[in-house]
Amino acid sequence: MEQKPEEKLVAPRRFRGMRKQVNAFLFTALLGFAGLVGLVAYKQGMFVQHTQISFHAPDATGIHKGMSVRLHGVPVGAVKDVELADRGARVRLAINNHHIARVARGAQARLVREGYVGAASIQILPVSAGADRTPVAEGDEIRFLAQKGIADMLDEVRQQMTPAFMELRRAASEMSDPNSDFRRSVSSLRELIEELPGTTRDLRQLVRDTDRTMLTVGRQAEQTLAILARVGTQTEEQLPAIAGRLTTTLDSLNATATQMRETTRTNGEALRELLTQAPELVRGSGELVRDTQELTTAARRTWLLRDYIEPSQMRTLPVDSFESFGKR
Amino acid sequence: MRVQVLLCVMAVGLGGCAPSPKNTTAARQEAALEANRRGENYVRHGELENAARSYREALRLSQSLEDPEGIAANAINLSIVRQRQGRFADARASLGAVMEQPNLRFSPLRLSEAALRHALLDLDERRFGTAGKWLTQAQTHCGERCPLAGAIHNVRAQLALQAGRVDDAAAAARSALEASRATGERSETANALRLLGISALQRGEAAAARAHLEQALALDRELGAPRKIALDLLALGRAAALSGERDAARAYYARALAVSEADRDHAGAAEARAMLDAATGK
Repeated sequence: MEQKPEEKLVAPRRFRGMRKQVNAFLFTALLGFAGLVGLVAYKQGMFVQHTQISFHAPDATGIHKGMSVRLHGVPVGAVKDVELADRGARVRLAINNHHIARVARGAQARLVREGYVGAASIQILPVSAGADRTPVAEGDEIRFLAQKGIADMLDEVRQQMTPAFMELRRAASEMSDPNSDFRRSVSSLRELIEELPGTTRDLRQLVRDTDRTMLTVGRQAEQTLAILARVGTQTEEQLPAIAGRLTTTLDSLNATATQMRETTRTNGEALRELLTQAPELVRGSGELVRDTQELTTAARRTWLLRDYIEPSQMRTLPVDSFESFGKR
Repeated sequence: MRVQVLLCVMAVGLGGCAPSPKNTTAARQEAALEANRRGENYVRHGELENAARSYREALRLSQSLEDPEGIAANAINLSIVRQRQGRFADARASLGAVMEQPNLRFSPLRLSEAALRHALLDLDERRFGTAGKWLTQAQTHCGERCPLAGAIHNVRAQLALQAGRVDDAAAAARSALEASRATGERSETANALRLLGISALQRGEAAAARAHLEQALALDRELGAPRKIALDLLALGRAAALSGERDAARAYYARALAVSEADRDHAGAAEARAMLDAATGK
């Protein structure tokens, strides 16, 4: 059936107002999409003002755009850009202006991981004593503390294991050698300590003997004085008896003096032996202390511990404007 | 026994992971850092000669590596220790390691710090003219935003006080207060408040002086600075005397005396005793 040209096309009744409905639907969809984009942008911090600072890293491996920047574990910004520079790579950070007052010019940045296999982030280290504490401003540059990667660490461990173990083996063999200074010092010390109870016993015996002798002397002196009181009347008869008692007393005193001399000589020898060994002992102790210090220093440098130890830097005593005020 | 075995195994393991000590740049830097730490410990315990020896060693090691940061830090520390010992020539000589080395690039902050130390040495020796020149140099190196701004303004205030320019001193102390609050340098904030108190005392404004000095005292107590606590108490005593409160003045002087004696600060104790005697009419 052929249609005549003058006949007007009339939309079916059920499609009337369809244009308006389609437009309304499209407008709503557009509005929803814009809202969604806005929400995502808000969540990404697009509406937050940022201050851009930077640092130079000799190697930017592991640092990428969008990486989180944290201060005390709290996200304060993100890596804005990583680009090649004269000294390696220049990493630009966008720091949230809300936190900018807490990031000082003297602060340092380093690349860290949550654990050894977790997500990486840039950590801002708080400023140490003596460094510049003024807040960073747009365009400022902070220092970057380069950290070694796992491969570097393993390589370093491999290189350093051998000499360290050889050193330890040498120290252990020296300690186990019966002729070594250390072992001889310990043996001498043990012998001296073993001799001490005997010396103490001898000293106690000496004190007891001296006490007894003094008592005897005292008693004999009393008797002698009594005899002297009666000497006027009995001089002629008693003289031989008195002489005999005095001889006994002198013999007793002589024996005591001999024993004292003997004990003193024994103690003197023990003391001389101790003094002879003292430098050896001191040297041994000094070596032990040095070994301990080296072990501690080595432990501080190990890759397991060094991340947990505060980065070392020269400390300056605070410059005090009142250093000499009270003296004027 | 089991714990000892475990500790031995750990020590061997950690030792195995550690680099062997070598006479490298890193080893020398570490030795310089150790000497720097030792110096700081000696200063904390008041052993100034040992501290000077440690800082000299740290300076020598830093100089052998041409490490500008290490040279500056240890030269400044050595000058502080020498000044406390009263050896001003030695203190100046140690600063030469920073100020007379045109071939090394020191940071502006370090240059400013060294110039400020020179100014403090001159102030201590009452060479007010040269102190002012060093202060200008420190200000030039320091620039606009500098952590030393508070200290520089405070030294300027002290110079103005010495010259009898009380209003200039108060203005400089106010600048110091603003700058030190901005940088969070509480020690310099306390110094600025004390200088404001002393300026007010010289103008005869006892109430204003007491307000500033009370704040300085509170800060110095927080910081644990006995010499400054004694200075605050002496100034508070003078403020009390100025407003006619003789008993309060005597109490402040007695407290200053007790603090100085406990701190073994003989000069401070002598000053406090003299003021106490004068207040009690002895």
